[in-house]
Amino acid sequence: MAQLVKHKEVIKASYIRTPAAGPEPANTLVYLRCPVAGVDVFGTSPEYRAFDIHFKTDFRIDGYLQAQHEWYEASTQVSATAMFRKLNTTTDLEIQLSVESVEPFLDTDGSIGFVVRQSSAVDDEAILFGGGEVVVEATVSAYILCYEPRPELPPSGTQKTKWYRERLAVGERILPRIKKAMSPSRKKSGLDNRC
Amino acid sequence: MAIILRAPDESQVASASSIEVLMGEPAQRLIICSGIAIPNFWTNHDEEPSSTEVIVKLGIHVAQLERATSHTGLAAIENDETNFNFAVTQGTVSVDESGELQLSVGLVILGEETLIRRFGYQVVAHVRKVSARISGTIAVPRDILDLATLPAHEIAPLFHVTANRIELIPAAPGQMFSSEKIIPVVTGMTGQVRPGPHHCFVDYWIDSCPFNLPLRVLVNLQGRLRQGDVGVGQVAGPNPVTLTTAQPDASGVDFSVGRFHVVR
Repeated sequence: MAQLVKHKEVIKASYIRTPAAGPEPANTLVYLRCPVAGVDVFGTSPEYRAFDIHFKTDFRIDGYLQAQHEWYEASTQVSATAMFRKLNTTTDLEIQLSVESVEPFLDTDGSIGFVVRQSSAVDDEAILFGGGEVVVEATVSAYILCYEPRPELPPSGTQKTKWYRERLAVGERILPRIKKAMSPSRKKSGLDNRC
Repeated sequence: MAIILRAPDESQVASASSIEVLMGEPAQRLIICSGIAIPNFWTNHDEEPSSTEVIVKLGIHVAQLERATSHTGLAAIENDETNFNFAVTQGTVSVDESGELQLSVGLVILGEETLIRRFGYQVVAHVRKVSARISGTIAVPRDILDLATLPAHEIAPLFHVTANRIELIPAAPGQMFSSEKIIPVVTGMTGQVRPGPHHCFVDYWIDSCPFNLPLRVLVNLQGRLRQGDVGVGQVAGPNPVTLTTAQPDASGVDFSVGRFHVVR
C-alpha cells in the first residue's frame, strides 16, 4: 500500500506551447518538464516502501473555467512519463529504487499536476552502525493536448473591432447633408444633377 | 534474445498513454507515446556486463513513419551491495511488419543481483495514418465450416469483401417501389483466422476507400461456404459507412455467417 504525500507547494515547470489542428476541440499542444517533488523518507530499511507523490505544476490551461471543469477533463489529454534524474548513495547498499508510475490530473484551478509513485527498499546490512542514505530525484516529461482560447481573440464579453455605429458617433454625420441636397427646392434648381 | 513488451498491457508497461495530434493535413499525425516499461532485466555478475534489447510495441498502427525521436531513462533499478552499471541507450523508433509503431532500446547491466526493472520512455513521431480504412471481423460457425482446420491459402478465396456505392433508382412508372443499385468501389482483403470455441473469426480490411461517400460493405461467400442455406449479414458497425478526413477509418464493421432456418 502506497502512502499519499500531498505537496502544497506548486512545482515550477518548464513548458512550451504550440498550435495544434485538433482533434477538436484541442488547439494547443504543450510540452512540459518538471522535477518530481521529493519525499525525504528513504531510509535504511529493507522493507518495501511506496509513496504516491501528489503535486501541482505552475502550468495552467489558459482561459480555464472552473464551471466547465468536467468538459476540460474530458477534452484534455496528457501523455507523461517519469524517470530518474539523480541517484546517490553514501555507501554501498542493497538497494531497490523505483519510479513505478505517473498519473496526470487536472486541478480545479486549471493547473496540471501529477501523482508519481516512487518506492524503495534500502539495506546497508550493517549490524551496529548503519545509516547509509539514499537520494533519489526524478523528473516528469509530459505532453498536454488541450483547448485554449486563441490569443488573437478578444477576452470573452469584449471585442477588438468596434461597431460601425460607434464610429459614426464620433465622426461627422452626413445624413442631414444628403437629405438637404435631396430636398424639393434644390431639385428644382437642378442641383441634384451635379456630380 | 529481445524482450518484447506491449504497451496496452499494464503488467508490461505502466502508465502507458498516447496522444494523436492533427497537423492540418488530414492523413498526417503527430503521435506521442509515453510510459514506464517493465523489462525486469536481471544479472548476477559484477565483472561481465550483460546486455539485451527491449522492444516496446506501442499499440498504434500507422501507414508510414516519417520521422521520430525518443527519450528514455532509468526508472527502477536494483543492486545487492556490489559495484554496478546501469545503462539505457537512446531508443530507435520503427514500424513492424503489421504497421505497429515500436521502440527498440538497449539495456546494459553489471553487478550481483542487479536488475533494471523499469525504464521510462517518450516517443514523438510524425506519421501518416492508414487513410480511409474500413475493417471488421467475419464470424463463421465451426459447424458450418471449421476454418481452423484449413490452410491459410484456402481462407481468402472463401470471402469476397467489397465497399460499395449505393445509387437509388426511383420507381419506374407503374411500379410502387424504388430500388438500389450497388456499385463496387473498393475490394477488401482477409487476414488471419482466430478460432473460438464455437466460431472462427476472420479479420478483414478495405483500404483506400473514398472520403465523404456513403459506402455499404458487403461480404459474399465463395467456394465451400457457398451453400444454399448459408448466408452472411452485418451484425455490428454503421451501415452505410461514411469516412471523412476527421474520421478516416471505421473499425468494428462486423459480419456473421449463419444457416437459414426452413420456414414451415
